[in-house]
Amino acid sequence: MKMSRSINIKVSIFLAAIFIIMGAVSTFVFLRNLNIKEISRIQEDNYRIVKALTNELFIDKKVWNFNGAEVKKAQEKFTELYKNITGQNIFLLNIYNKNSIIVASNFFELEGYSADNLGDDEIKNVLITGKQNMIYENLEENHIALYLKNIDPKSKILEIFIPVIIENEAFGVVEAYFITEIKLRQYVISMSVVTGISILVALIFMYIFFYRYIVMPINIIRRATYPVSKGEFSRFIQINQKDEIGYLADDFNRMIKGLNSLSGEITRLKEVGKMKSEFISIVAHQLRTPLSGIKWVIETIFEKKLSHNVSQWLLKIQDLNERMIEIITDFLNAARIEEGKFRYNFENRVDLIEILNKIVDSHLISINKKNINFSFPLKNSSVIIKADVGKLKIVFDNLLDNAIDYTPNNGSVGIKLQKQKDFVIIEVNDTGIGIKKEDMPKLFTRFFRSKEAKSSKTAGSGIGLFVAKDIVKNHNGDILVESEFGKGSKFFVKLPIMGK
Amino acid sequence: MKKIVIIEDELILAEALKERLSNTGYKVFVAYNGEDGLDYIRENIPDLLILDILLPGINGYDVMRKLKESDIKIPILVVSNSGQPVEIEKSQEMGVRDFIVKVDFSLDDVEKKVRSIIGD
Repeated sequence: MKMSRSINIKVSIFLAAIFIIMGAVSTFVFLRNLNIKEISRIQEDNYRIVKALTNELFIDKKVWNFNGAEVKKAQEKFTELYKNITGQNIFLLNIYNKNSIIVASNFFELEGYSADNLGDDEIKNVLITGKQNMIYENLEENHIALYLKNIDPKSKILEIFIPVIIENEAFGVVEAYFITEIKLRQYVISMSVVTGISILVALIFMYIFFYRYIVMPINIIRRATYPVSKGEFSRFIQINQKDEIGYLADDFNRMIKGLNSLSGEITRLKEVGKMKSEFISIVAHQLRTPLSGIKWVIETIFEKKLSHNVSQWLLKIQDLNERMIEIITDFLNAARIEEGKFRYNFENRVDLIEILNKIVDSHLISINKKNINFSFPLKNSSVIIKADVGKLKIVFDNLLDNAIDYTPNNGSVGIKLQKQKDFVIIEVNDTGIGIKKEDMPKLFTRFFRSKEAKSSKTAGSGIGLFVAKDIVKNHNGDILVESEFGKGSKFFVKLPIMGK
Repeated sequence: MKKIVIIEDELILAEALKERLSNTGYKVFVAYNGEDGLDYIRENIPDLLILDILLPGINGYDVMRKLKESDIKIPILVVSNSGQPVEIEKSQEMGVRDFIVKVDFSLDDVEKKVRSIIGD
């Protein structure tokens, strides 16, 4: 029994694909929301802190007086306080003066640079307008942050600008940077792990479920249906499941019961058929001995001196006997074909014309008796084939017998030959009673005789053409018929020619 | 006069054959079973054996085998009832000169065969 790819695997692959798509979509949506929330939370918190610390430390003219030293102190204080409040180091804190030059930074290389050098227009904008500003962007887009190393350039940063305005005069700008991405990445990782594990667990349950309720019962059914394909109707299915599969099993069991009784009937019919052909075979065989006895005895009597009258009667008996022998031979051949015991004895390089000549010779008496116009133009050529001569004689004997029998007195019968490249076609034609179209398909079946054939004066078993067809087929040939009812018939025997 | 032995269990067939062959110049002896036929052959070696295959007691093949064992080499013409290819093949293997199926051959045919094998 072949079990190539389990339905379970297919279903699992399908479900896995769906789960993964669903998981990915939901994770994405969830993270997006989380991202936005988280960012706004960080924004708010940091903004509040930065604003408060700025107010606390920088809104004082004294801080901005002495060459930036106080600013630096305030900046350090800012950093320290920020750490106290949040527990984290501030990522970058730059303090610009009113000329937009960095006076203090926790990243020392930046000190002394102007906003122009850094290409940061925001600072100037904040100084002029005096409005605080917040920017949220990718690190790689930020000129200042680009100076910093060892940070994933895809990180998102929050940049807060707070102008220091004392008595309507801008003294500088506090610029603070925060990395917002670190926490998010952890979320992504943990989310993926959770989603993955839940998909896996769901799949395992699905697999078990499908295996138990679909695949297993289907396998049980297959184990029962497989023998049916081998003609055994013995296996029943035992599935106690109240669903479609359970009902299928019940239906199958009912079907097996039905088939069981049917197969019994078939076996019985086969036996009857076998007995019948065996019976025919035995009867035909047993009859051959007495018939050949009669044949030889009649011949013996003909040797004696007989009155004209007696020898006429005796001729009639001989005729009848020959006909009986023919019928019995037909029966025996048909029975042997059915039993598969019709053995062939092929000879290479047989002359078909020679066979036909012999057949024609043996029919000359009956041809003359009915004054039939007989034509066989190819008497002296030769066509070499591979054949069982005895069997092939049966074929042409039958065809010529029929042609003569079903043709009225003074009619015509002929044999024509047509040689093709690999085949020879032998045509046996007559101007006899012909065959009706509806009888054509049954012509080569066993025991078939048309109504017209039965009502004609000729005797026949309805076996000759059945035997002939089998013989021709076994010679790798074919036998075909053309007929016009009431006008005559043409039988074509196609046989392969042997190469030289 | 050439001598012919016929081993054939069917009385009428044997009689008809005997009548025809003795009328055409042969000395014919008929045995209705294999053993009797063998006994006669061993005593009077004939010129031809006409042999049926299906016989009561030992069959035609057995007769041929025993003749071979006794080193008696005479031409054999098998006259059989069925003419199945198996029978013909087997007979050919055993060195039979010719094979005749009873229903298909007339007495004339048999006589011709006999004459072609052993002459007048």
